[in-house]
Amino acid sequence: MDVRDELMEHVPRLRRYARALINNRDLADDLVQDTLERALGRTGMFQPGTDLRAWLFTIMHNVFANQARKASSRAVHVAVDDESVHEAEFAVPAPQTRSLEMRDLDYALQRLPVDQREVVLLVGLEEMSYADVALALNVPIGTVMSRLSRGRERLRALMAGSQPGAKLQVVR
Amino acid sequence: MSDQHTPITEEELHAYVDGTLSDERRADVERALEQNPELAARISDYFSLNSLFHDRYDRVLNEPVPKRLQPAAPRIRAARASPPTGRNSRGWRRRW
Repeated sequence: MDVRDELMEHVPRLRRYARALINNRDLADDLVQDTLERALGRTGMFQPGTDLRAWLFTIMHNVFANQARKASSRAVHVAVDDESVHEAEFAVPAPQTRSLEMRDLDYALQRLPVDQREVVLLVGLEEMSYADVALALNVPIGTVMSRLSRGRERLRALMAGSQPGAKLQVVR
Repeated sequence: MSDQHTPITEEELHAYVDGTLSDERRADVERALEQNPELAARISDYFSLNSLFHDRYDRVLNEPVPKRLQPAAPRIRAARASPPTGRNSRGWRRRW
């Protein structure tokens, strides 16, 4: 199987991650497309036997970071930093339905600083090891842990803020 | 042999949630959770977040992959198909 075929096997997971990261189907697929395009242009740089998935997530991270930079310079995408979000903004009164809960998740994720959003999703959704996340994002593992810790805590606060008095739905 | 009084680190709490903590420390964390309802609530929410991610986004795995992300292998020669709308017009398929 050549690298191209192998790449295609990862497309569904790249799409899932991009969707959670961006919460816009077309833009998320654009990100996947750009990632594949770049990966294909660089298959020579991929070392057989190493983790193709980690490599793809690295590329996606780089593409995404570049786009975010450009977008913020056009002020299309509002960068949210740690201090600028007030939980009260999300205290929207609304019926306690499951779909609302899901929309809240989308919304809360979008309010997370990008650095934290990436880590929380790579760990929680993609189930990557902390070491692989460090590799993919090219940061020390300690940075992964602190982003994970802050990201989860912030997400928890955002979700709780959007449903006053409600606990997160406990599945396990 | 771990000392059961070794404090549980923040990192270990996350490793517990993500299923990568050693059995030994797992037991220590579980003991701590029993003794600390506030911590237990926090950890329960972290588990819930991971479950919510899957509930919300796993469906994407089952969506048909759009054509523009599903390039034909060169041997199939599908490149002559009329270019679909949108970004395909920028020549993505040429690379395949």
